[in-house]
Amino acid sequence: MVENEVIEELRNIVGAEDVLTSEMQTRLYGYDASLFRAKPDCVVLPDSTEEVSRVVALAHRRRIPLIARGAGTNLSGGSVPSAGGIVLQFSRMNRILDIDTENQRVVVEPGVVTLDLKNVLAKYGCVYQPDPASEKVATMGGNFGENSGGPHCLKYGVTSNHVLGAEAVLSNGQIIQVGGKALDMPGYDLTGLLVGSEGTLGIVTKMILRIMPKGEAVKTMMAIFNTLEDGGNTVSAIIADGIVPATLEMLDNLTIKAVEEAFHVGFPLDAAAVLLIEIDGLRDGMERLTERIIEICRRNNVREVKAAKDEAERAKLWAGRKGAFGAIGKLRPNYLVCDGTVPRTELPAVLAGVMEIGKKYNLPIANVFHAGDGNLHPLILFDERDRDELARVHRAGMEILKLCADHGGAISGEHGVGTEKKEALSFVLGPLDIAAMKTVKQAFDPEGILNPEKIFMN
Amino acid sequence: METNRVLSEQTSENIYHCIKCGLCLAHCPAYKEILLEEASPRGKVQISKFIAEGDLSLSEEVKETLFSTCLLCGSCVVNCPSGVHGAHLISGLRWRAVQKYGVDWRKKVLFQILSSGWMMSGSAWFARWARKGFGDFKFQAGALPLEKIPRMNDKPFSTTVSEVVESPGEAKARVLYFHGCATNYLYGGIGKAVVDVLPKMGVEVRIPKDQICCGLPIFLSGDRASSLNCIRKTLEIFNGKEADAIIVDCATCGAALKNEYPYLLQELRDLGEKVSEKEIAAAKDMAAKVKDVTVFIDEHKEWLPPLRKRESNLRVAYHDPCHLVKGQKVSAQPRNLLSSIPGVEYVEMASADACCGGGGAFQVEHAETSRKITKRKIDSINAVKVDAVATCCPGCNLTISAHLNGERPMEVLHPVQLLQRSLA
Repeated sequence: MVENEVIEELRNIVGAEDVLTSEMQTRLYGYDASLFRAKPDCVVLPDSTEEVSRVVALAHRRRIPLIARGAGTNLSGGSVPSAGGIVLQFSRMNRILDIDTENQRVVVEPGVVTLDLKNVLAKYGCVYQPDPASEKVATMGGNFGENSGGPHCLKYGVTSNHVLGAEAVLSNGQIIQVGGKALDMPGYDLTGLLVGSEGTLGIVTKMILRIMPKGEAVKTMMAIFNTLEDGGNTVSAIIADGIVPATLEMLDNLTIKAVEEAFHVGFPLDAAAVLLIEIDGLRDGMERLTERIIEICRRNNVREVKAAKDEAERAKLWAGRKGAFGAIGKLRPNYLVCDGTVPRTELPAVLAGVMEIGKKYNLPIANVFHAGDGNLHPLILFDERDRDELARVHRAGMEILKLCADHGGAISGEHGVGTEKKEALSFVLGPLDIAAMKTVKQAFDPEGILNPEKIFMN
Repeated sequence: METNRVLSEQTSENIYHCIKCGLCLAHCPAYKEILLEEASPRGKVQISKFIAEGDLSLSEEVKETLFSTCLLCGSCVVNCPSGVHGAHLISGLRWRAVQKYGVDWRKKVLFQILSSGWMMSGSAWFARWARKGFGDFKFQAGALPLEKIPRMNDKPFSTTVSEVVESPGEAKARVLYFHGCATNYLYGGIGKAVVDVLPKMGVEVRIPKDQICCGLPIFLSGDRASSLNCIRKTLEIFNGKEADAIIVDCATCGAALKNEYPYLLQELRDLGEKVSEKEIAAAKDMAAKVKDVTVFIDEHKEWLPPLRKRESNLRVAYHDPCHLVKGQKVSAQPRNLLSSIPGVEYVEMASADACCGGGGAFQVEHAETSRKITKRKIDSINAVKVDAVATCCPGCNLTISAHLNGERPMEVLHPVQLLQRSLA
């Protein structure tokens, strides 16, 4: 429990209005988009690095658990305050501090919404590449903590490939600068360590990001298949041909039906798989490349393949993909998103295995995934009010992660380990690997106040 | 089950379809300004869940949140990929909150007047009262500067027209006209335009007497009991009458008659209130005939006489009222009408479908948030440098007119008023 005295001190630091303590308010910061729930003791809304630093120092002195939160779109329970304590809510630290188009860098605060940043950059003809499906609401701080991905990461890499530096508050409240605008900063790559550490090593208060000029042209194709296998083979064939598309996204039949109902994209309801292929870059040669891809699709028994005629058609295809999770929410009240990666060539076998697991536990499973990355997102559908079903869902989810690990993959592609996948960490890491990580945690946060009870089993 | 006592089963099912993805945060005008989870639709759906499951009590704080952080614009409803109807949850809980804590006295008096039709005889008295009652000694009704609230019509619109406005020649269609309070008391010009344009198209317009408030502002404020009077009276006046359509010139009234009546009556019946199946069936029958006036005109545009070219060009932008674009999924028809007027240069403004921040009583009671939302709208309008803004909702008209900052002279009009000018 956070004592009244501490609440008073917090009020002194950030102002009385920016400390939320009521039953209603604390409950509202106890969830994210996963199935986990908890309740913090209070919520603090900082407005500057200095305020963050003073709050963290206070928590450190008092050994109070502390968790940084953006928009609460996390899918692994990483932003659920399992141990109570203080939620540091960053939505009001949402300033874009510097746009340096000549050096292709921006500096932002953690509360900036990913898509808001992109919209501002678009005015300068620039783009920040990572594009998690939640980008309309998810914040840069959350992207940083989870090392978020997204469809375009096939060509451009995940968040860590675009973060060059950061300002972070350590667990004792000290403020450090890691990395910078220049490349190849000397010393340990602490930036690399902090990105994807799920708020367990430090709290980021500013980040320096790489931006790029917007591609000259973009082409989005939709390929429809009668079997998942044909779709999977097409993915491998495109890459084997030396083409690096910006995205290779696949949706299976159940997802197609849900998306079609919600967005009327024009997917045929009886298709087994839809592949969204996007290429970007120079206008010259793009037509030829499109033809090459269409030819590869045909060789792999595509039923129909066509390119979006204009920006509106392209936007529609992407609205279907980005809204797929939500649309699936219409089929059953709840879903669990599994997030595993496998080597691309293992995709068909693993997908078949996923469907087997669905049958075994008598649970419908929809698949929508970053096929090019071998990053699967099986969505297990259920109704949380049915306790028995809920228990089966957790077992099935764990089994799917095990399946990915057994095929040489990993248990997380981009959603983090959080609360949900702590147990699965040992599927891919040995005891010594985990011990090395815990040593790092110990060095950064000896008191264990930063986002406790996450990533590792006790 | 506890759930059934707070919300009907049909409505509370929404709670369980929210997967907390948070996409609604990107579309909620109130959240964008307040940036607290309680202001987000997701937050309020979760509050509904906590309350329905008995984990949170319907405290004064919850009540305040339900009223101060939501304009019931419906943005979350149309943008929820899981189909969660946040607005129904919130208005249902507002009702429970009002049952527990009562209605603010000023609202109570206003609702009594609106739902009983007193205003018919006492509009001048009402104007004085409204200015005083909402004035708060600051000469400001919340976000609305009083001097910018238009003068009341000299006489209520309904007393200035006959019950039947015939078309010259044989009528191609007959419609009933629900004119709503705003036209009746504030924007008589809109009503005059409707009864001018439609007959010139060969449409006979009947204006049933004794119309009262549609009830929507009342039940969205949680006072469902008073709003039932409005619904029943409106059904009595309009349902079962021979007509090709029931036309409405106000987005809000249209949303009420078309969507909310059947839903609300069903919801009340499910919760054990005294509403009959017959009334629900009547509401559905009536709803099937309700059309926004711009939709009706667009459907029969070949009936329009030739439009005279305007003497000077007029750049016009259109603002989508929430209750039309989100509530009734109407966006193309008003634009079509505007574009069809010779001499009107139609310009699409950025975020034309974003809420204007008015929200009826919201701008009076929650001025700070309202002003911020309105500012975005005014910025969008100023950016396109138009001579006039058209919109199909007198509420939006009031809000936008009151905040236009005079960067250039600009009229705010109903599309039918512009049409009328080219028919004169």
